[in-house]
Amino acid sequence: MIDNNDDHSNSVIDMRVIADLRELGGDDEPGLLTELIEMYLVDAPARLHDVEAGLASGDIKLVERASHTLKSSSANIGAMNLSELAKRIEEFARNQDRASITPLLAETSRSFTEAESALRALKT
Amino acid sequence: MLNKTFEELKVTGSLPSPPGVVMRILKLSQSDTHSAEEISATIMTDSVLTGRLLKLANAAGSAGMQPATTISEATMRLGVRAVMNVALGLSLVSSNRTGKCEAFDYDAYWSAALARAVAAQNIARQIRGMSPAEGYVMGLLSEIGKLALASVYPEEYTQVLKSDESRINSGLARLEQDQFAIDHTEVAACMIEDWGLPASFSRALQIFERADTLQPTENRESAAMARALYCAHTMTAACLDDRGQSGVDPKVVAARLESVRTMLELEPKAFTELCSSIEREWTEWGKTLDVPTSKMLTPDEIQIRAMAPEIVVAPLPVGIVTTVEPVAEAKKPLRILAVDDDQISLKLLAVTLRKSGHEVMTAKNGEEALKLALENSPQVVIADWMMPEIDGLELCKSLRRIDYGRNVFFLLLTGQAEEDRIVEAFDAGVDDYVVKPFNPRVLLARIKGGQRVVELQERVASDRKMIMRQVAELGLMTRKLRSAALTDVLTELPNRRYAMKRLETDWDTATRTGSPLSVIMIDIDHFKRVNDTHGHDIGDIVLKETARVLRSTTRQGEETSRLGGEEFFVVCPSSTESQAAVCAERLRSAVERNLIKSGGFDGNVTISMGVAQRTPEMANFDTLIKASDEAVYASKAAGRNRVSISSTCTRKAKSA
Repeated sequence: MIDNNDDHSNSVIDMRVIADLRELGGDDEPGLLTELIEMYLVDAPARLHDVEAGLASGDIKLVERASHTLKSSSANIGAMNLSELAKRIEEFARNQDRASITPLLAETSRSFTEAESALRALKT
Repeated sequence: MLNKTFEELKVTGSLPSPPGVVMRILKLSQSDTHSAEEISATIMTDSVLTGRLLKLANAAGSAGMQPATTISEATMRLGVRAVMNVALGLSLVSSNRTGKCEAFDYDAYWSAALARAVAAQNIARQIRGMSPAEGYVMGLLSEIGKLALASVYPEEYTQVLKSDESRINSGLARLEQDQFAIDHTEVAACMIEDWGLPASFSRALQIFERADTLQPTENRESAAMARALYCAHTMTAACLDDRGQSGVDPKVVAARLESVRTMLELEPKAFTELCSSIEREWTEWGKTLDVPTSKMLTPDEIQIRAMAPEIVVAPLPVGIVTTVEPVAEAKKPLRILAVDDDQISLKLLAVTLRKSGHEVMTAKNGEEALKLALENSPQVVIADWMMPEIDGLELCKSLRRIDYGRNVFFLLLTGQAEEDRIVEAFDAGVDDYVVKPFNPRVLLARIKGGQRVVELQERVASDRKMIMRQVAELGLMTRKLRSAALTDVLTELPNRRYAMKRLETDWDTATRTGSPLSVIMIDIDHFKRVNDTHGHDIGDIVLKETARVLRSTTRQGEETSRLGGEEFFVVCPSSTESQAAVCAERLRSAVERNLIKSGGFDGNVTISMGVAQRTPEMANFDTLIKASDEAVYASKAAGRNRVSISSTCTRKAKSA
């Protein structure tokens, strides 16, 4: 059984990642974290939209690409839950398995909304 | 000999050369099976080049035409040949923007080249026999030899540029010949031939400076191009001389410009319009290629300056001679190009790398990365594997195909999903990889490994360059020695050894083709008396003076040499004895009219001459020399200071 206090990956935002990003910005670039969060909050909805649009139009390549990027940018900002969902979508897309993706969409969307409000609260 | 010298420059590996895409296009064009589609497809792998080509296709098209929007259309409109030539020219501009030659102003060079390109393009619309696109390329490349010499011999060329006080091309060419045994026009002609551009191009380069006096026998295509180039050079030199930098009298500048107008048969109003459209297009192209431009003088302004000579213009350093700080060599920090379509990853990469002191450029996709890599030659490229259009592996493959990209350290970012396909990445030429999301410490450790490789490679490359330089210098020395061995030290004319080699070649040509060949033997009259009366120093001056008059009076193709003592010799290929006799008479009269005043000597000398023509009965060229020698004796016997023709004196001897 995993100790819940240490399992940051299950929380909406992995605070270790945030700490790393704060440290990376340091004194030279104190606004880095805020900048990254803003970037992410613009980028992620666009990728989510691409996933849905790709599914609707049958452009599975677009789904794969968009979910790939969403996976990596979410991980970069600490949104591990969302990153994990994006990873699963990417794998299904690679296997042309559209049917398995659709049920994941609602959960993905919810996970983003949670991440969004958590990240907004972190902005300084 | 010319090509040999050029080969020596080429072996240094420092000549400006077109990037991979263009080399591929040139290769394609030389195969018999190439199709316009293949060429279009190759061009389209370079988005920057594509844009510029479309711009040119549309500028070259006539008014009222729909603009070309694809490379295939542009290829149809301009022709495959023209598209390739233009691709070549344009790619050189973007890849040779800086260099090590301290006194060579690269920006000013490209700015002037671009002005000439646009001018030649516009002029080509006025004269028949060439296309505007060809004019553009010729104008752009006509002085590429200067860039080449600056690239191969940065230090020596700095000296040459600094000591060039003439500020005109012919003066510079003489200094280049002294230093490198080849001048920029010859280098340019060889280079464009080497790149597979038509021979008429290089011919036009060699003759354009005397385009106002071209022989009617000149190849029509070359002649048309030479005229366009002449006009383009003269016009841009005049219109860009806004501060009198050239040091040329404004009256002369105005007269030259006027001669161009006459050559183009344009009314003053139309000529002014031509100039202003050149200025406009130059400014536009300057923006496209990021080359600085300035305001051009109008023909009217040039006329006004010519009429007001009392305005003293302070001479400013001429176009390409400005002092530029030598490029400092950065040692430790690396130039890194980071490529990721995910902005957040890209930002993190950039921040991480910059924090550890590296110089970082970023690109959002493969296409942008290729362009940046070609322009800035980063030492390390870090790229995400998964990217739309050109992905990380393709980017790597494209870079590995070109000269610069072979040495770059390529680090691939992969997701966990791609890790099991990593062998594919190494096959593509990737040096190392890091799994995303990356741990900054791991990334920096990999970069450190890359830095060792980069530094090692750079050291090897610089050693190799040094060896190449030494080879080139050796070649230069050999060439200078060789030329010394064939030159008469006192008069600087070719010597007997050269004269005999030359005659042998011309003899063989005449034997093969049946064309006439004549020679003139020359002997200074009473030279012994000059030496005895005034001493050897004065004797030497008389020899030098006579050599100078002979050299300046003979025409192109007639080769004057000093055989020894007071004996000179002229080879006249493709000339009959009567044609050679006309030449001889011209020389005789010039020497007689030339007054020499030095020490106690004040007066002229005369020469006795013998002309002989090759006949089928002659066994070899020695017989021909002997015949001319005998004719000299006939001249001496008849009272000196005259020309005798071998065939007539033998007839006389026989009939006597």
